[in-house]
Amino acid sequence: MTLLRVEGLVVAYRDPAGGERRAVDGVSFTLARGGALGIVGESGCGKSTLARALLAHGRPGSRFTAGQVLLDGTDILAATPAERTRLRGRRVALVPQNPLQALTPHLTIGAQLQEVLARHRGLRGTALRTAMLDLLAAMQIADPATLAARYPHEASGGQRQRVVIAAAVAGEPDLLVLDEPTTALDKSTEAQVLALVQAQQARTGCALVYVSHDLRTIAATCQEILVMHGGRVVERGTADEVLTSPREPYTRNLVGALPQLAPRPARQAPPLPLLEAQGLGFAYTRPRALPFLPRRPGPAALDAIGFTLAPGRTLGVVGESGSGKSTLGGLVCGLLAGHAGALRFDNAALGGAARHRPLALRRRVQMIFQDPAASLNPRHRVLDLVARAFTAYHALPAATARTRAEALLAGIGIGAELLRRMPGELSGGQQQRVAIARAFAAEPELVVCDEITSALDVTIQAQVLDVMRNMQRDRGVAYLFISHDLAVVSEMADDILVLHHGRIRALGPAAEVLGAPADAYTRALVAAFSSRRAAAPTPVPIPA
Amino acid sequence: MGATGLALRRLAASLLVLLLVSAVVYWGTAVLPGDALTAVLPMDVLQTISPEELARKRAELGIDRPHLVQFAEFLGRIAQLDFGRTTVTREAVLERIDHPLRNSLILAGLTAIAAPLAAIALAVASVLRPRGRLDATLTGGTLFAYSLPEFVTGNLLIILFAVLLPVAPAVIMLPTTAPSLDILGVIALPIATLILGGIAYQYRLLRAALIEALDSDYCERARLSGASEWRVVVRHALPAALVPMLSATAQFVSSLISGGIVIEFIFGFPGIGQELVQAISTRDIPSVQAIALFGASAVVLCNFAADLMILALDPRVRRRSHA
Repeated sequence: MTLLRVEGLVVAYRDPAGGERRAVDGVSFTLARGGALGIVGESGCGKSTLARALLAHGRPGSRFTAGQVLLDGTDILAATPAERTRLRGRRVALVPQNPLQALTPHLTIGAQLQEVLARHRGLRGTALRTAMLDLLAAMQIADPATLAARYPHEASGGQRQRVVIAAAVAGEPDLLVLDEPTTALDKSTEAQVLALVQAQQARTGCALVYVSHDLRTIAATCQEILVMHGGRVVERGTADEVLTSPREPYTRNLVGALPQLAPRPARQAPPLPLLEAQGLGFAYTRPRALPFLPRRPGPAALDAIGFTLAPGRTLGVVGESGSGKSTLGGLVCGLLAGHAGALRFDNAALGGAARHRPLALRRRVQMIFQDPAASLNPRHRVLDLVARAFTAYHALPAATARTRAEALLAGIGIGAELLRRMPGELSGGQQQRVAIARAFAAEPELVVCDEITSALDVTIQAQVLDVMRNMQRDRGVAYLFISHDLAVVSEMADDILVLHHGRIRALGPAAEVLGAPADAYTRALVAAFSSRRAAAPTPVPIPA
Repeated sequence: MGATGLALRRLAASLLVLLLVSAVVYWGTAVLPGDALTAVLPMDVLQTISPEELARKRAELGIDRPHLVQFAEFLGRIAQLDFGRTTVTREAVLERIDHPLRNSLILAGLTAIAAPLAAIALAVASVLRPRGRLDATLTGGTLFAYSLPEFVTGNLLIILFAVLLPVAPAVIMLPTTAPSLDILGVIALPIATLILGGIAYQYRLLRAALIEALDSDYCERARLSGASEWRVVVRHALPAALVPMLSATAQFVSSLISGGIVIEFIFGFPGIGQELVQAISTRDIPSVQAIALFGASAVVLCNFAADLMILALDPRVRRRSHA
């Protein structure tokens, strides 16, 4: 029996030039009661706009210009505002994209869930509180009363995502729309959250529309998949069909770009380490208790870490948020200073803030950040950004610096037509390549890469990783490659270091760490990625 | 550290600021040529007194001791609200500034309550229909009111409500010694003038913060879980959006206490500003010291109160300050 029927839906945004841009352009599909439909596509394909249209909600500046969204045969786009408000949360509910931002910061978790329960179930007083605690318990929260009293920022990412799901299912809707519900989560948490959604579906028989850029997550949850590109549905089929025999070139490209949990082939390591840590520790300072009192150290962010990184090799650093992996990167680059233990670069002590390091040392150790939009000066042209690095580190005359910068940028796919643009006029992938070019303009020996692909779509991610591999092959530079994504790290790293709460849980050649992890946490991490790999098109056996 | 710990820390910091202000006030007058004795005695009398006599007198008054000791005593006296006597009329400073101070506090207190409430009401009305007719009128109107100097708004209000439509007195005819609550009957126009001048900035800060908050993921989630727009605005967007406005409100209110001089002159309002001008023109240093200290305390107190409110409104601040 059909629950949802979307017919020729068009959602258009006003663009500054006065025209209209169709974010959703003639999409049609049906969904049976209790069914699960996946919508996959990269950022900007219109999938989030489509998800909101299923709740008759248009983002500011958008309009429904054609088509219908029929819920049980009634067009909800034609409903009055009051009718739409009544429908939301009661018949259709949304689990939004970013659980870390989706809860009101100044209201306790309990208060926010009670608000939804009071509205949709008409509960008051003790009954309301009991229902709220039951709801949290149903989300497998160990201690509902404690979590209910907390503010969102006091809860972990996984807890917050469960609360957001709890708020969505509180009204027992017939249709649950999930918009990238796990993108912001660690992979092990993601698996738990997905299990929770499936349990909810089994319990209440609600239908799911699951929107994501992540083909694997979708395949694990949904029987049927729509692939969206440029506002249109370019391919549809069962999960198996789309993953194993994609028909459209766009889908093939999307499937091919998925990173595989497979270690890169082992290479002979040069004997002398380039970067070496022994008993490396770091603690952020607490704020002063009173003005002028000395600062005291907080808990250890890194606790007695030891590793070596040889020239031209890649050490992958994996961990969840709060594991200390960015702290490690910050210490190596000199963004943080004041470590305990020993940190050595090319057999000389490395440490202290970057501004106290000699220019030659700064040149040899470079960094690429997660968000190129924030790390590139928005008021400088692409060419100048890279040419400046040549001038600063190699004291080249301006004209030579520009020629070298042009050549470097051309080599990683930033053509002449982009050189005069500002960073804001580039796509995310292009910006990240400019950031890469700027780091390599210094001709470094070590590049610290901190989550450099986590803001990018999978196809762009594949391109950026390609660029990084080529640079390493051509220039013999070493990478300290930091990421929460084990699959991405496994594609890049010779050795892998797994961090958890500032301690090393595993360290060794990639094949060893991925294949036979001795440590339980590492095993769980590998399992979380492997379970999703089952749905991947060409499974690569993990070496034993 | 919990909210209480943070509040105590802010309190300690506030007290430290007050101590520094007192030190500045004390040494500011201590470095002036002459001392309490030469300031009190007229020049011709002074010349008839021998240096030994003066030294004996200084020892008697205790003003020959080290400055640190005297400063400690000064702190002890102001802790008991003993600011000494005025140089001209020899009455107790506290007695002289008592009534003007109360009047100013009533004026500032009522404005401090009314202005943010009015700003909240207007900003909420604005964002319920963003870019609607009301929003456009308010945004334009408050900017207009903001750009007018207080003496213009004040006189416009006098013309409107005291001359054309005589419902309020144009000039306040109250002796400074009238019972303090008498002032309430005639205070409407000064308050209206202050609100008109102060509300625009607070309204604009709040409206901008509300629009930003309403555009957030959490407000969208609340909306899509079926909450009415009113509920989204008041419960989900407003508390956090108040934070930037409150700092501006604190600054606005403390400026009322220490410097509502223009208003006091337009309306003949018997407040502390007039008293300050008079004290300065007669070189009445004890009065100036007392008023300066009250003004500084008002600034510190207002900011402390705003800090407490921000702590109460936004739990993330508690976290951020020890992250």
